Amino acid sequence: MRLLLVEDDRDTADYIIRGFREAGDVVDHAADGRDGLMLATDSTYDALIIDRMLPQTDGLKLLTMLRAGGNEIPAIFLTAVDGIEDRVEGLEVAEDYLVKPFAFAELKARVGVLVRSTRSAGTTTDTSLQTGDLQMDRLKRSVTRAGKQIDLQPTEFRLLEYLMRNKGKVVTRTMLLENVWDFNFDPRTNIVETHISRLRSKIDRGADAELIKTIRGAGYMIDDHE
Amino acid sequence: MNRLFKSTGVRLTLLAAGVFIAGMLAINLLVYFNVRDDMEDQLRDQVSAETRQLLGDYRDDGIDELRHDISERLERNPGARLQYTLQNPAGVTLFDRFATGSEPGWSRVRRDGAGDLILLTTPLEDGYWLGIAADTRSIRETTAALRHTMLFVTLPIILLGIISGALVSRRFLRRVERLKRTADQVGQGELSARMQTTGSGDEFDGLAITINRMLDRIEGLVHDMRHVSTNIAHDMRTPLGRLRQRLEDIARQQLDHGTRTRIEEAIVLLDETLGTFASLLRIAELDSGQAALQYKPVALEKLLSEIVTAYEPAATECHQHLKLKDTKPATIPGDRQLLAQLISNLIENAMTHNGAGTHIELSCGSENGQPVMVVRDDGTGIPPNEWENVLKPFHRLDKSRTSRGSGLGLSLAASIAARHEASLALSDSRPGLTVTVRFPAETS
Repeated sequence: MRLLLVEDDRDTADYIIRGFREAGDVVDHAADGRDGLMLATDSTYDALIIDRMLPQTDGLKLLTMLRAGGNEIPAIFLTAVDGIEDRVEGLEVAEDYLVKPFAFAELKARVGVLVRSTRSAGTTTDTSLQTGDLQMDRLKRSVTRAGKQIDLQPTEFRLLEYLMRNKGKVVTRTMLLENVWDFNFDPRTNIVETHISRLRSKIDRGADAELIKTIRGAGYMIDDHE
Repeated sequence: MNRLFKSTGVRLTLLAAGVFIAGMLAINLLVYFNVRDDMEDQLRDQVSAETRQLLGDYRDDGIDELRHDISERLERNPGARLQYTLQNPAGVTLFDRFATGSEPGWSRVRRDGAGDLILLTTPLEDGYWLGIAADTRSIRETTAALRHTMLFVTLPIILLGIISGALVSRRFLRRVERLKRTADQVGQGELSARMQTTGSGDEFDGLAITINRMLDRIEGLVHDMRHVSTNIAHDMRTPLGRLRQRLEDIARQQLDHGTRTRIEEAIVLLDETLGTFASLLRIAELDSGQAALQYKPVALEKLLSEIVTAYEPAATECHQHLKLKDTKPATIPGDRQLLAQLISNLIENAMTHNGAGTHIELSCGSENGQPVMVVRDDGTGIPPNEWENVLKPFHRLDKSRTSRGSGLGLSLAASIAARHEASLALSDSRPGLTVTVRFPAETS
C-alpha cells in the first residue's frame, strides 16, 4: 500500500510510519496541511491518514479542498478531540474517524478495509459472498456451508456479512461495533466476543476448517487459507 | 384553614387590613360620641339659660308673672321650642304637662314615639315645681344620619383595607417568590441563575446583591472543580497516548511470552484509564451544553430491542437473564448513539453490580404522554439514601468498590438523559433496582 500521512506531531507520526513500514507499506509524511495538500494532489495514494488539527491548513479544510478538486482517495481522520459534533463533521468528508490515542492495529485494520473496499467497489453490491465452502446469498438472506443450510439470527448475519465482505482483512472489535451494531462508543462488556463465539459455533462446528480466526491483539478475520 | 393562616401573604394582608380598619373605626367612634355629647351640651346650655331667665322673672314678680312668661313663649314659637311645665302643690301640671318628678336637677324623660326630653327640674316656693325640657329629636336625627354615613363608609373602608393589605403583601411576597425561584434554579444545578434587582436599593435589592455575590463564588468554585477534572483528563490524554505508543513499540519486538503478556496487560490497564478520561470528557461536553446535537426521531422500542440483542449473549455467559419485557412504540427526538450508550450503561450497571441469576428487564412506552424507558433488575439494589449519589461521577457504593467499572456509567447516563431533557430516576424494584428515564411529552 502507498499511504500519505499528514500529522504534525512527530512522535505520533514516527509511531505510525514505523508500524506501516514494518508491514511493508510505503508511507509519505507531511507535517502540515499545506505540504499535505501538495503531496496529495501530486501523487497517487491508496489512502490518506490526516490529523484533524494541523498547522497551516487544518485537516478538515485540507480534505474538503481535495474532495472539491475531485480527489476521491479514501481518507481517515485522526483526532485528539472526541467531540460529538467533531465526529459528525469529520465523517461528512472522510470515510473513517479514529480518536487518539489508538492502537496501531486499529489504524492498520481500518486503513486496510478502506483501501480494499474502494479497490473492489463492486463488493458491497454483490448478491453473493463466498469464503471457502461458506456461501452467503444476500438477497435470500441464506447461508450455507458445504451445501448445508445454516440458520443465523439477523445480528449474526450482519456480523458474518461484514466479515465476508472484508475477507482476508483484519477487522477490529470497534469496527464491528460501529458497522454491525452502529455503536460508536466502547462498551465495557464483551459484546463482540460473545457474538463471534455464537457465530463460530454455527459456522465452524463440525467443519473441516475454522474460517473465523482471532487475530491476537487486533481483532478477527474470515479467511479460507489455513 | 390552618394552612391558609400559615401563609405569610394571608397573614400580612390581614394584619395590614386589620390595623387600617381598627384605626378607621376608632376615628368614627370618636367623631360619633363627640358630636352627640356636644349637641347634648348645647341643649343643656339652652335649658339652663331659659331656667335662669324665668327664675329671675319669678323672683322679681312672683308666680303669676312666671305663668305669663311661659304662655307668651309658647305662643311666640309654637314649632321648635323648649317644653315647659309648672306643677302646683296639688300635683297638677300646666302647659306641656309632663311629670316634673320630685327631684331637683337634670333628668331624662322617655316618651313613646317621640324623642327623649332632657329635663331640668327646679323647685319654686309654696310647693311649686318648674320643669324646662329640650327635645333630643335633633340629636337622634343627627346621630342616626351619622351612624348611617359611617356604616355606609365603613364597608368600603374594610374592603379597601383588605385590598391594600393584599397589594402590599403581594408586592412583598412576589419579591420573596422571585428570590425563592432563583434559589430553586441554583439548587437544581442551574448555577448561572441570578437574583433580579430592581435598582431601588431597598433591603430586597441588598439581599439579592449579597446572594448574587455568593452565587458568583459558588459558580466559580464549581466551575473550577469541574474543570480541574476535565483539564486533567484532557491534558493527560497526550502523554498517556505517547506512553501507549511506547508500550506497543516494545510489544512488537521479540519478547519472551511472559514479558509480552505483562506489557499487553499494562496496555489494557492504560486503555481503561483512557476510557475513563473519555467518559469524563464526554460528561463535561454534555453538561456544558456546548455540542450542538442533531436530534432525529429515535424509536425507543426498536433501539431497546437492538441493544438487548447485542447484550443478550454476554448476559447469558454471566448466567444472567436479559430480556425485553413490555415495549410499546415510543418515539423521541434524540441522538441515537448517545441514547444507545445510555441504555448500554444501564444494562452494564445492572450486569456488573449483580450476580448470576439476576433478571434484567427492559421496557418502554408512554405515560401521560411522556415517552418512558425502564431498566429493572431483581438484584441487590441500591439503598434509597444512595440513589442521588450514585449518579455523581466516581461515586461508588462500598460493596461495589471491588467490582469492575469506572464509576462513571450512571453519571454518563444521567448526563445523556439531561441533554435530552429527560429525567433519570432510581427506585426500588423490591428486590433490585429500577431505573426510569422519562422524556418530555411530545409537543407536536
